[in-house]
Formats: sequence, C-alpha cells, structure tokens
Amino acid sequence: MTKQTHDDKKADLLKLVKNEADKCIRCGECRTVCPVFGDTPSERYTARGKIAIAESLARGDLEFNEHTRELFDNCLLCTGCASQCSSGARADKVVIAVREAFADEMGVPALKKAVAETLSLPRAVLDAGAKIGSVAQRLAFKGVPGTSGLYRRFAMPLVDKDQYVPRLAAKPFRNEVRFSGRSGQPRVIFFTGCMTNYFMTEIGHSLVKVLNGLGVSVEVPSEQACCGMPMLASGEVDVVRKQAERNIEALANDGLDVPIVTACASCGHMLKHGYMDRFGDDSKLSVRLKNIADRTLDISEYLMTRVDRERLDALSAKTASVRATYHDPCHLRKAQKIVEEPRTVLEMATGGPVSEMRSPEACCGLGGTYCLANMERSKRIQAKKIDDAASTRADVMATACPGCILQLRDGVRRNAKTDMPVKHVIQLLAEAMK
Amino acid sequence: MLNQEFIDSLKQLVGEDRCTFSPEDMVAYSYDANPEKRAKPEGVVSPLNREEVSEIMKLAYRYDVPVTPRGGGSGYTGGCIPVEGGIVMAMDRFNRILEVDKDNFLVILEPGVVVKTLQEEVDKIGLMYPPDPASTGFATIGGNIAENAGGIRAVKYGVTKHYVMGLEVVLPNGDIVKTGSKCIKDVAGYNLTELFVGSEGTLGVITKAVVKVVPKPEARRTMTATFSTLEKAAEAVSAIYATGVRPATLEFLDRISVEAVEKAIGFGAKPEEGALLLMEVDGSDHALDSEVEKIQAACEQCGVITFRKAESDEDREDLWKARRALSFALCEIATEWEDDDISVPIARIPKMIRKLDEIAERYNIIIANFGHYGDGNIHIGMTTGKDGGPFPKQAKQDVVKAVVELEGRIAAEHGIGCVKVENLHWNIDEPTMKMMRSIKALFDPKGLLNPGKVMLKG
Repeated sequence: MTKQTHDDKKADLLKLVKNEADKCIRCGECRTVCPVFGDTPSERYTARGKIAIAESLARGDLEFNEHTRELFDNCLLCTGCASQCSSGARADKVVIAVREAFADEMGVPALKKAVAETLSLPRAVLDAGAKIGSVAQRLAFKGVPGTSGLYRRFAMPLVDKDQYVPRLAAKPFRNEVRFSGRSGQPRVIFFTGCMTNYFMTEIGHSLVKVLNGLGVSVEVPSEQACCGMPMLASGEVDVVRKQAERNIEALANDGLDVPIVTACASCGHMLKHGYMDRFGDDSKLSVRLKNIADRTLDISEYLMTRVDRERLDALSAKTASVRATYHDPCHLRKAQKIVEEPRTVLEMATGGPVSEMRSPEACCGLGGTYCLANMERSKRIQAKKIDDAASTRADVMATACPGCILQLRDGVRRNAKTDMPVKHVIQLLAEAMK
Repeated sequence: MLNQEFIDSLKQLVGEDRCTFSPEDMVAYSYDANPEKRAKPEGVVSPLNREEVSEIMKLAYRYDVPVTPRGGGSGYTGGCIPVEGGIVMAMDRFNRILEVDKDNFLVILEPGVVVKTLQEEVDKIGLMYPPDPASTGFATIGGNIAENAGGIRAVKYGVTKHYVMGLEVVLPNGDIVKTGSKCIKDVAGYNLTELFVGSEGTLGVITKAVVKVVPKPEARRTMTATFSTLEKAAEAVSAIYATGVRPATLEFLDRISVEAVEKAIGFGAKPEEGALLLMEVDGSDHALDSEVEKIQAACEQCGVITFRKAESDEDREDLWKARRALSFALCEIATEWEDDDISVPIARIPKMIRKLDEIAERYNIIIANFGHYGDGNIHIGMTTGKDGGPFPKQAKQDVVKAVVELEGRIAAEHGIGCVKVENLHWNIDEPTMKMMRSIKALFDPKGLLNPGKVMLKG
C-alpha cells in the first residue's frame, strides 16, 4: 500500500467514525441490547464504548494492536444497538470500518481469511469442492440421529465433540433448480445464499414449492455469488466489492423490476443495506446496488405484501397439530424491521398461535465466524437462547435464517432439556401444504 | 499514576479479569451522557459482592487512590466521570433482584439492576415502581438512588427518595452499614437513608437497596390540550388542581418546542398554538371518565384551542408522539444545545418562562423549554442556532440567577455532578455548605470517594 492511500484511508475512517460519534450522546441505551455486553458487562463492548474507542483509534490516540482489535472482533454485528439507538448512531458501521482498518494494519486473521477466500471462489470451483466435500464429510463425521446434521468422528480444530455440522448437499441447489414455474406467471428471482445452496437445500426447495403453489415462478440465476457478509464482517472490502459486482451482473434488472426474494436474513440485510452502507457513495456501483436493495424482499415479506391473502390462506391445510416457537433472526428483526410477517407465515403453517419464548429477539450467538473465533462466549449466548426456547415446550423451533438454524441446531444438541427440531418458516409452510 | 503495589493488590483481590488498566478501557470509562465533560480513570474494577467493595475501599484508602462509583453511566452531569483519576468502580455485576415481597410491597435488589427490569418484574404481579425518568430503559437503580432521579410521574407519585426504604452501603473506610428497614413507620435512629439518596456516590457505595412498590393503577387516560400562550396553560393547570384532580403526569412544551415538533413530524399543531400540555390520570377505571371530564372543563374555561383524548393505546402513543419527538425535532433547529435542568415552585413556571424569554432576547439566542409542569421541573435547551457562532456562557449564569430569584433550584433531577459544582452556592448558603462539608469529611476524611462532585472543597 502506498503512503498516500494509507493516509487517505485513515482520513476516511476518521470521517466515518466522527460522523457516528457526533450522533452518539453516550446515554447508554445500547447497553441493554448488546448480546456481548449481556454476557460480559464491560463498557468496551458497548456500542458507545466502541464508538468512543474507535474515535481515539482514528485520531491516533490509541494503537492498532491485539488488545484494541479484540473488542472490535467482539461484535456479532447483530445491529441491535443501531436499531435501538434514539440518536440513530450506527455502531455496526463503525465496527465494520474499524475492522477494515485493522485488516489494513495487521492483516486478516487466518480463520476469517480462509472463510472469505472459500466463499469468494468461482462457482465451478466451489461446486466441485462441495461435491468432493459431501463425500469426504462422511468419512470425518457421523450423522446426528433424527436430523440432517453431522458430528465429528475424531478430534479436529474448531470442532468439539458436540459441534453440529451441516451436511453438504450432494448437488448444490442452484445446479438442481434454474427455473420453476410457467411462463406468463408473476416471477421472482431467488437469491439463495450459500447456506441454502450448499447445505440446507431443503429451504430452497420449500420456497419453490410454496411460490409455485401460489402461481409464482421462481428463477434462480446460477451465477449469483456469496452476498459478501462474511468478508464485510472481517474487513475485506475489496473482496466484498467483487462479490457486489458479481451479484449486480447475476441479478441484473431486465427493466421489469422483478422482485428478488431471499430466505436468508443476513443475505437480505446485505442486499438491502450492507452494499449501500459501504458502496453507496461509489458512483460506479451505487445506482445498480440501490436497485437491488429496492427489489429485495424477505420471503415472508414477499408473501405478506405481494400475494393475495385469500390465496395464501387457502394454501396450507391448517391442522393445528404442531406448536411452534419462533426465534427472530437479528438481521431480519433488527436490521430489516421484519417482525410480524414470519410469525404470520408460521401461524399459517401450524394453524395456531406462535408459542412465544422469552426474548425472541435475543441473538443466537452465531455472528458468522464469531462463533468460531469467540467460541466460549458464543456458546453462552446460545445456551440462554435454547433455554428460553425449551421453556415453551413447543414441538418445533422456527426461524427465518439458515445461519441461525445452524447455531440453534447446535445449541439444541448441547442442551439436555430439549431435542426440538429447528426449521425455517418456509419449510414448515411447505410441509403444511395440502 | 497508580502505585504498582496497589495495582498488584487489586489484581490479587478480584482477579485479572475483573480489573483493567488498558488504555482503550480508560477511554470507555471516561464519559457519561454529558456532552462535554470527559476524564479518563487509571484503572477500572468490577466487584462482585459487598465484601469486595469493602476491601477495594480499604485498599484505595491505604494508597490514597480516588474511587468513582459507576452505574449505567447515563447521567447528564458527569456524576460518574473520574475527574481526579484513580479507579472507576463499575457496579454492573450487582444485577440481581434478590426478593420481591408482594405482601409487604417492597423489593430488595442490587444497585446494578436496570430500572425497567425492576418495573417489569413487579408489573407481572400487579405492582408498580413509580419513578420513571426518560432513561428507565437503561439507567440502573443504584444510579437513580445516587442521583435521586425523578421522571414523568413525580407530580402524583414523587421521586426516587420517596421509594427508598433502606440501603446497604459500603463507606469509604470499608465499613458496611445498613440504613432504614422494611417498615413504613420507622423512627429508630437518624434517617440515614435519605442522606445517601441523592448524595451522588460521594458518601458511600450502595450495594443493596430496599425499595417500595405500590399497587398498579387499574387504568389510565391520556390527554393533550393546546393554548395560545403558556400563561393560558398555567391558568388551566390551576383550574385543574382546583377541581381536586391530581394528574399522574403533566408535561408541557413551550412555543418553540411545539413549532419544532410540528415542523419535524407534523402532528397537526395550528400556528396560534403556543403551548401544549400532555396529561395522564390513573386510578380505577370507573373514576377516570369523570376526572377527564373535569380536566376538559377546566381547560375549556381557560381558552383551550384543541383538546384531545386517547381512546386506545394507539391513540395514547399518538398523543405522546410530540413529546417523544422533541429531542429529535430540536436537532433540526441546531445540533449544538446547552441543556439545563432546573425547578421552580410550580405556580412560578410562567414567570420563569418569561425570564427565559428575556434572556433569549438579551443574548439573541433560541431557548426551548419543556418538561414536567406538574412538579415545576423545566428542561431548558439553549442554542445560537445552526450557524450562530459560540454560545454566550453568561446566558447560563443569567438562568441560574433567574432560578434563584424565584426560589427555584439549579438542579432538579439530573444532579450536580461535576458540571454544576461551582454554582451550588447559589442554592446553598455558607453555614449549610459548611455542614455539608463536615458530613463529607466525616464519611470520607481523605476525600477519595467520587471527588470533585456535588460541592467544591472548602
């Protein structure tokens, strides 16, 4: 990196941080919503603490070192603080910007780099890797009885004996479904996300079944790429830019403003806000990214706002045989303000009211690679969530994000009080269809 | 600079994971919600129990280290800012509700419990903890007690001091004392509880509290009334009180505040509306309709322009919208505001507002007034506008003088902290100040507990 660009980046960081610091009145409202502060009550983990420390870092009053990096790494990017803040301060933007600065100053930690590099590989390479992986996985892992998951056969780094590992699909979803429906029908573009494409393909199939059942065609552009959230979270902005460019191509608007639907809360958040937050002032990208943002809908949001209600009501059998509780994905509830829609979908699927758990909005503790890099704290946050879910004695725990599903299934495995299955709301709706 | 022996002893006492001396942590404990004041501590310790608090105090006294207790850090006057360095004692881990005693209408709890958590806990069993400052959702009960916090229900229910029945406090010398009891009538010895309430953490560190709760009112009704001037609104308030009705909440917005909110969110204010009252009554459902009628009649008698009643929870939120949108609306006028929190005897609010108008004119500044009409507490926002240049500091002194002339107080519910210490003499005369200093010296002869707060050293 040249000296000039380094100084420019420092100036940009200071500008961004100062902008948020000016909004923050340090009232401490953020203390009550932060899952990390909830686990370890130290002011360094609060949003106002991070903003104040970021300002000192950007001014050069503090050093970029392992100690200061630790507190910025200790954020799940759940956006709880930003959604709660009366002054509109965006600590999540500050955390991402500071992580970017740390990546420049100190490099990206190996673990996060490996995840980012893998997910940004060309599709053909990823697909081939997944195919080999799906075979190799059977050698390293055993099936978890009664689920689609796996657990390890022998000791390995980052995977303890109870770790739930999702099963790699023999064939990625996007290789199986390119288009499903009939010409002349209303159409959506399905942004699958990596988890649905490579691991939880049943979510994709459920979404297609529901939409086709409602007379909506589903197009699955094969060249879509990872949304880039994991790379954004580790500060690798150049990689995120490439992912954004790939998705601009894959999701190109043909002039008909076809809605983009997703069943992943984090992908939805990224498409709606993440790209614009980071590249909104990049004249080369911003117009097309804004168009993507405007067209993106969570699947439950799509069902509630774009589909005739009577048609939707007629879809499910409504047997009322299943009691379901619901976990709010942070990137759906806090980042996208989507609260009621998935609950309504769930009620359609189960025929009864949602058995609400205590604090359904509390984070599950996944936070992308957070659960690997800060495993102990992540597991403690997870344990609280599972306890709350178990207390409802529901038959099934529903949610609306494959990432949460991964974390919740792992949590259920570790909790002696419950063995409730964890499913996506769209899966439950598909199962309930006549 | 902290003595190395002190640091080592502290680490030995609480373990390395509950004390920190790292530069970034010092930044994170250098502030509260005051917009200007900041000071870094040299260390932060998070005790787990009263014995640790006691040992920490003894250690600090042995090595002459200032100790600043800290709750939620949501105060406006720098009460928890370590202005003389030393260590911050963060009370976050004292976060348990120990006992909810329904039969005796009391709760025993630790100081780090967030006020809203207490309110929600007792609400479940039909009880209410009335003090309700705007920071209820994140301020701690310990901080509320230390600052004697008020809130929007003070007009009917009083302030924090009316709900603290007893305390467990660690004194600067490490002694653990217990004040008050679980009894409503209790004259056994001096009333030490009230000495600690509002002492801003300068006399001792609260480690446990017994607070009183009351039956939750069955129902409430919300109303707003607008008038051409604040004088007209004041007449209406007198007329309301004359009917015998005691509102639980009686908030007001002055002309600049009304205009700012109208501009920001458009809640339907007419140009001739120069004052808004927001009122709530609570009690048994059947009695409230008649109370609302009486209030409406009193307002009509005094030239009300628009009178609105909430028929549903949604309506209630709608009526509260103007009050809640105020901070945001004022930011549209200017981003830099000098805030003050004062109180006057309630009947003198219109006089105080007139004096504030004169000050605004004298210094060519904008002054927006709002707050808790029912208890005489005015929140004052002063600014020179968006590009108005530096704020004339003398205007603030003029406000203090005006308050004193009307027998008001320079601090109502936000404390003195470190930002109003130089003005305390306006309210407290020299013999009284001397007595306060003697009390402080009795508890804290070395002046190490929360130094630089409440009053200047003698």
